[in-house]
Amino acid sequence: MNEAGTSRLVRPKPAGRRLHAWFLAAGLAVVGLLAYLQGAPPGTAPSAASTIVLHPSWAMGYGSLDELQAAADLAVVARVNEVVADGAGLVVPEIPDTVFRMTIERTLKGTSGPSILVIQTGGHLHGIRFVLEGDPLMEAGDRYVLYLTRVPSGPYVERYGPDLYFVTGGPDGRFAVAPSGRLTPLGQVILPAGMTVDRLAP
Amino acid sequence: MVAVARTVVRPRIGAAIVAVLIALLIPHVVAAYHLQGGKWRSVTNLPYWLDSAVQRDRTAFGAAISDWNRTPTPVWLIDAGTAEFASVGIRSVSDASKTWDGITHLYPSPTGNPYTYASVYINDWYTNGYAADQRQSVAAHELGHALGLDHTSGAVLMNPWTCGPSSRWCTYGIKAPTSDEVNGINSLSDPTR
Repeated sequence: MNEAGTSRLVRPKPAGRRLHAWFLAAGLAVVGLLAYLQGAPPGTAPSAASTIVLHPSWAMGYGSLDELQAAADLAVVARVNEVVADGAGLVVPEIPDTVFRMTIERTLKGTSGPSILVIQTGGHLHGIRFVLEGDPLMEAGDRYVLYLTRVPSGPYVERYGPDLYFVTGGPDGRFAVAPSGRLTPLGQVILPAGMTVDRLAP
Repeated sequence: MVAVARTVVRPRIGAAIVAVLIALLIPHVVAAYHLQGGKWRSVTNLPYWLDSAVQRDRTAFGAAISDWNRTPTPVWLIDAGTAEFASVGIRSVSDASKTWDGITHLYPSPTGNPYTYASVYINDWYTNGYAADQRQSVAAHELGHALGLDHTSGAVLMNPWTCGPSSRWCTYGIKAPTSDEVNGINSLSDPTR
């Protein structure tokens, strides 16, 4: 047998084994990944009867602090002091909302007293916790930078007065403040790396 | 001899690696949609009740329902004729204290699956100022939630923002289900899921 003939006899075996191994591994990987994606797509969380997720369409989103600063009536560094109300909505009784009293630490835009009220969709009703998709409920003690819009009218203003606000752009207008001062956006705004509350103007 | 064999085989292995990488990436592209986790027993002949006297909202939801019913999916929403027999209730509200122009939630059965009722609201505080197609974009988006879809970013109906940067309507002009929503609903309707 010449060299070429030997090559034909010898080469295919190791090459074939290797290729079979690669295709077997590839097949297993693809099947496994498909099973994972079909069974638990990203962002999926099974609903439990004790928690109901509210799925909003946000009227307006914001991509930067400058946009938020321009759109907001008031921008503050504030801490959640207490929950003033948590229950059936005044306009949509089927959906609860929560009213928080916030203690103002610093004002970035606008003027306000030492505390304000902020309303957020979500809360508790009939023993069920309602939470907005992508906009977790605030809790007493939380510290945030908030870009806020004054509630212009309606039953909430009649009940709680004119110092009532909602967060501009939902999660986009909220930034959690860590004990170190570092900011974490809850929405789609991308902050410079290592952005801290001290670096916000003014 | 061995060197010659390796020379011949390596390109094949390289091609196999490329094929594996492509195969691994394809599902990510296909499965851009996000699901809520639960599902209806069936989305075929799912009865809805449009409990709104606001004509522009009725028009928006009517068009959105037609668009969903035209998709290559098992979705077929039918008018229940009365609230009593509806699985999807659609209502208009006007709430100036909210940031959302539409909102939906679903009630799971005590065991979590399947869904038993979906409640859909459109917020006229915002949508009264919208053009008809923009209002339809909100209606179709909320119906996507009512059918079991979650938010997804990009040029798709389940993009959560009506306006703003990279938003469903003001950026991409989307008011009807895209292929991504079709894939999501079809994956929900897969009996093996």
